[in-house]
Amino acid sequence: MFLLTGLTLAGQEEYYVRQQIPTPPGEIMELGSIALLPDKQIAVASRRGDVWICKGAYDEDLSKVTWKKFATGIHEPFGMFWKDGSIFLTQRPEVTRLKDEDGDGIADTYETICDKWGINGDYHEYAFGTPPDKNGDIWVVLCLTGSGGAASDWRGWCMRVTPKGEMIPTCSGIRSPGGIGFNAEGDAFYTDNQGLWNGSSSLKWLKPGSFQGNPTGNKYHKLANLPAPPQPTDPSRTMTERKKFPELVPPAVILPHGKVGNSPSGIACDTTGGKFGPWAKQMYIAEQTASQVQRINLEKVNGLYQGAVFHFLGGFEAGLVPIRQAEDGTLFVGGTNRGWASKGSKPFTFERVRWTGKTPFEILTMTATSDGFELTFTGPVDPATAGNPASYGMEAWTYIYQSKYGSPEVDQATPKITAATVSADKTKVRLKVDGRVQGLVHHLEAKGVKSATGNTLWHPEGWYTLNEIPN
Amino acid sequence: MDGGHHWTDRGQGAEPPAGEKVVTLNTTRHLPKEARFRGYRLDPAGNPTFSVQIGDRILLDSWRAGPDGLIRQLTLNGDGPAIDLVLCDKPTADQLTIQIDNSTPASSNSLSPINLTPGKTTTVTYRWK
Repeated sequence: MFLLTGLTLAGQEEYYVRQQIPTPPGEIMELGSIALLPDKQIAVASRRGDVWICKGAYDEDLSKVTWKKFATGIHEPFGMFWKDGSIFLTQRPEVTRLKDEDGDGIADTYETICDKWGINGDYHEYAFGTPPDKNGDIWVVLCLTGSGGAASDWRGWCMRVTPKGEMIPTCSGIRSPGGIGFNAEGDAFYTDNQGLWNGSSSLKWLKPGSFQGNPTGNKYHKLANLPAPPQPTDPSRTMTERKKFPELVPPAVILPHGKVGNSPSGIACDTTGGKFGPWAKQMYIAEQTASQVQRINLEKVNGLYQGAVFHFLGGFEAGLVPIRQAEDGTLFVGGTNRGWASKGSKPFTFERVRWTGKTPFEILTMTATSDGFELTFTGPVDPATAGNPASYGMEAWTYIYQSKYGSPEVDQATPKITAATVSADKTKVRLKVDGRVQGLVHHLEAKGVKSATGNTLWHPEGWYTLNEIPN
Repeated sequence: MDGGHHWTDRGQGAEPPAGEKVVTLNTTRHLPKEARFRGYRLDPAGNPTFSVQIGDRILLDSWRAGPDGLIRQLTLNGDGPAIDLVLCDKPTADQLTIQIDNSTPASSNSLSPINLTPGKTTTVTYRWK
């Protein structure tokens, strides 16, 4: 009945096993949400508005998974979790609690927790929601109308929804989110897609009170008597406008368009303590167009988040949107390519990825220093190659901050790596770099670096967004 | 909204209300301003009962298919004064008739509000022409 196929991307299967999880026969399972339920059950929600519960998604033999439809009639849910015996989800018009009060395994009560934002018939007024934060609040980012207008109340804003259903306007300047989640410290982030006022897609920090860059929905500050968000100069640069408007928080990590991906979506933070490899507290970003998962390490410098993105997992069957990591390390992803083409050619997919226990030779972290960058590797390096500046290359650029769609790469620079110093334990290399430029994406290549056992890096490049330079 | 249009491609465009022979009964808000939608409950047949909180009271608004139309039952729970509900504020008799409880259908639909008394269920039947 089910067709099981393996991966593969060259070399990936040595470290990570990707498996398709059979979906209910005949159903269009374009996934927008994944939630982890008790007793190793998984709930998924489709873009067509059905919620299904899967048993067996953790088992070795995936041909035996079973499904039961739990709810229907939801409007494109993007964000779902289990709490207090119920499934909560964020759908286009509201945050909803689904209850099975008669115990027959099917939802009978659809309780509206909060529906205080606007919606019309436009196709693009998506709403993406988080699981609860430490206060129990759900963070919701509201896509612009048609991704370029703000025809309904609070479009282009981030809201927090309290357990009592109150709605707290939290950030302005949103354009077209693809996912939302928290880092290990509990701060909220979302992915915003390339387009108007977004020269490239990026991971953005939803600092309460911040402006995220797109002024289209600014007018709604009047609904809550909030201060007017900034109206940036068009065209400009993010660095230039940041100096004028302190509430403009720059992207934490730019995901260079066409190089890292084209359409970032769901966010997961690895809190498994090493059950998926050595990436503790790092973030995984799903990618719709490239059908990949990217890996990000963040740090906070001078009060702002910034960090590096690396290619990580690939070969998924459709464009990825939701991503959830279970406590045992299993990474569950869902996909759809309807409306937005993806490298994975199937119309939809539900997959899991597990670590084989073998760690690839990778750049574990890339962090900024006062005079360059420090690289931490997943294992000891070969001092001869890792200590040679010629093993590395660097270029930098940024994007025009403008109302036009996207941007070419501009303001190119070529920082020069003048020294590479290997640590005593051979797991770190300190790069001295001349000519770094604040605000630019710094693209590192480390193709000449080898491990102590002679391996080259699985992914020899990273892209670091240098919002701030440490003292 | 006809969410089904969002099932194909991107679903671009401003989607209309779902259904056939769509009739706009109200041009203005027909519930009190403080009314807050609280969700709905499905019976075993899938018929919804919508809940609307009005102050500390709950208005239950049930819908099901009848033999020749759509049957709506409105019940206001809790203590307090009656609430006026405007079922229709524009001429619509050329498209459908609105029958309240067992009243005799008139040639035109009443534009006056109905009075919802706490604890009493009002049945409204909509019949399309």
